[in-house]
Amino acid sequence: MPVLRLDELGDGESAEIIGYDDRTPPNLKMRFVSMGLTRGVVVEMVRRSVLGDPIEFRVRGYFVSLRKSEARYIKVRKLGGAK
Amino acid sequence: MKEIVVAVIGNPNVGKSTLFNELTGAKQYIGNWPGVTVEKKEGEKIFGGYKIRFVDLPGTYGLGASSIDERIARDYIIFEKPDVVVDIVDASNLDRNLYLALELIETGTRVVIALNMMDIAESKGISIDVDALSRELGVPIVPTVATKGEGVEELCSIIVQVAEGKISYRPLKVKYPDTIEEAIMEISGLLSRITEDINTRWLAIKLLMQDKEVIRYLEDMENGKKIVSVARNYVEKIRSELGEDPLFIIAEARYGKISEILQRTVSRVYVEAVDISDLFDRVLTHRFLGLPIFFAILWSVFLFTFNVAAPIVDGIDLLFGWMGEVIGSWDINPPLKSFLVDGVISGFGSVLVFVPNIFFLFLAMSILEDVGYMSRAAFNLDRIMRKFGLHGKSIISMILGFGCNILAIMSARTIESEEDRLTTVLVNPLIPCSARLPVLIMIASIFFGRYAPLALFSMYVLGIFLALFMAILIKKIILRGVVSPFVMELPPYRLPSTKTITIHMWNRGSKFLRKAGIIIFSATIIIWALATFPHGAEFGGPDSYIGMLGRFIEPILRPLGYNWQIAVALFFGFIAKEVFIDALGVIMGGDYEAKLGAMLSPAQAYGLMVFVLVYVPCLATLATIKSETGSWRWTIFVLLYELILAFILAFVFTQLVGVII
Repeated sequence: MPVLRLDELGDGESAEIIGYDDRTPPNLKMRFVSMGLTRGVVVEMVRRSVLGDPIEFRVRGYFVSLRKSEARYIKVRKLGGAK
Repeated sequence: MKEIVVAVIGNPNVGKSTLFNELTGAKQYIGNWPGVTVEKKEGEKIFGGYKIRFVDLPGTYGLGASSIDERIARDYIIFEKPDVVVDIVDASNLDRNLYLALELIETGTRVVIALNMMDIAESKGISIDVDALSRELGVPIVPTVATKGEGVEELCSIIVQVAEGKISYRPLKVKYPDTIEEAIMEISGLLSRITEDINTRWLAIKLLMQDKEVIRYLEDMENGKKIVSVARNYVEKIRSELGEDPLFIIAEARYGKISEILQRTVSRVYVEAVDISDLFDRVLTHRFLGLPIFFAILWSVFLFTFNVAAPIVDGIDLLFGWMGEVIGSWDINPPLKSFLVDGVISGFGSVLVFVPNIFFLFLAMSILEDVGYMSRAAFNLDRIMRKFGLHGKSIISMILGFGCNILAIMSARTIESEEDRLTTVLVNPLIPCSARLPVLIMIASIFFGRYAPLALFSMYVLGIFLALFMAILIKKIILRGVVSPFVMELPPYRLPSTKTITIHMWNRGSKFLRKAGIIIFSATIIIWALATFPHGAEFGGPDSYIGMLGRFIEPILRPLGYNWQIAVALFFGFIAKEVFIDALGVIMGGDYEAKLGAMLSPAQAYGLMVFVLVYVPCLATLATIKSETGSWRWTIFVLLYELILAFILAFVFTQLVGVII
């Protein structure tokens, strides 16, 4: 399964978080962690906002929005069977 | 009576305010946290022979303290040491909610979990073994449905039992990988020598997570620096041994523990086919429909504020008119009569007339907030706001600004980056608040008749446009900096109870009433006195004190076409914008509207509306800017840019409209 960045998922696609980019700013890491965006968790891309940014995801049973520039730091492994 | 202090904490959007309202009723004391203007809400309940004092902490996802809100919540629990901490947990989303619970338990405080939204959890097919969950976490759990007031009595009785020490705690201890446990042991051993009142295990874990605030706190202590550097070495060691940042390993261990516990205590009876919130969002946050719907919603709020409130406004107006006539016919001593008729009724009354508008505006905004639409607005507009150097959440602050700039400026505290927050704060006074509304309505209805709503609406458009324009300027020239993150929850839509909305509206609206009561009333007295004296001068005439003041200011405003009466009213409008009307009412008497109508051309009147829109924030807003930015320079900056902008724009618009008409 290919490794992608979270912002590369298409509508309705799911992926498992495998880690963060080394360049992720520390305050963003803190934020990700307390919002439950940790390794092993499955994230589903729900929709994009006007102009394609920010992006809404479903994770741990709730909805969270991330900007493209933030989602880029999260490395994921795409899961099959979407859509 | 013995007092029990209870801190109420929880993730955002878990029904915290609703439960708080149920616990304390409408009797709430709203103040500020020391040092910051973040709202601090307290309430009391007498229960079981105790006075339970509830302190509402800002909503937070963890104790990481990345925004002012989170820091306040954490500092209160760590340093103020409430007797009991009630953690409100969304039963329909335990996975993420229990993360905060585990952190709280780790601090060693006495936690009671209120398992809220049990009804929603049930409707989602989630079945929770509450006793088992309570045993696993080692803290008491009370199931609640805040919207129906269920579980409130039980919660209070558990709080009392905990405070009396009748419930024994065997708090869950999350076991971290050995390398980390070793580090925690070592560091907490060192910490126990320098601190007694903070749980050293928690502090050690925070050090390993490289929490900036905790590091700073310890570095200020004697011998603290050494411990910080010991911790730093451990962080490196863990990184090389486990190949990961301790931050992740610790967080993952917590989440791992949570899913382990949930597997044993929660079962999903069935899984919903569609999520209703998601269904709504397919339309409300649609890529193309989202924005038009947002503007439609704003427009309906606007209509609601005016049209629905209109009959009540007319009623109050009639009432004051009638009172003026009645008192006018009394045979009492003339100065007193003049004070009552010219001061209280035509001055103070002219402001009170607009109270229904203001309450309806606050009502509409409370509904938007409590339903959960605000975060959708932020989601829809983030990209656009960023083009203007603002943040998606700035839109929430701007919308709240229509109600009250003070409130709006305070709401910006949820924006993480300092630059984005400052910009949001600095441009907010340009958003026409509800206090400017009466002034604008008055001028518009005198001069523009049928087109008054249009003239008024143009002020809102202009205000928003100016705020965006200033934001670009500030961001481009002064505050170039980091972009703050936009990691934001889109909470499920909820149908808030009437009680929640009413209390929400009342808490805000009553602030206006109190302001009207104290500030505006005192201003009325001062203005009336200045209009009456010195002896022998015609009331409100050019030779009264107020006339002298007006004639002194007038030359500055002459290019805009304002006479001394308007000049002096603008001067007093600095106290609070509504006082502008108040002052005109006092100086010119009950028929001030007709008199004002004769003083200005429509073009000048439009210019005056622009001037009132922009010229200065009210005193209270300035004070809020000072405390939120912590800087006199920013405060004066706002004052100056607004004054200059007001002069230029009022002049330009007067000329422009003059050409058009």
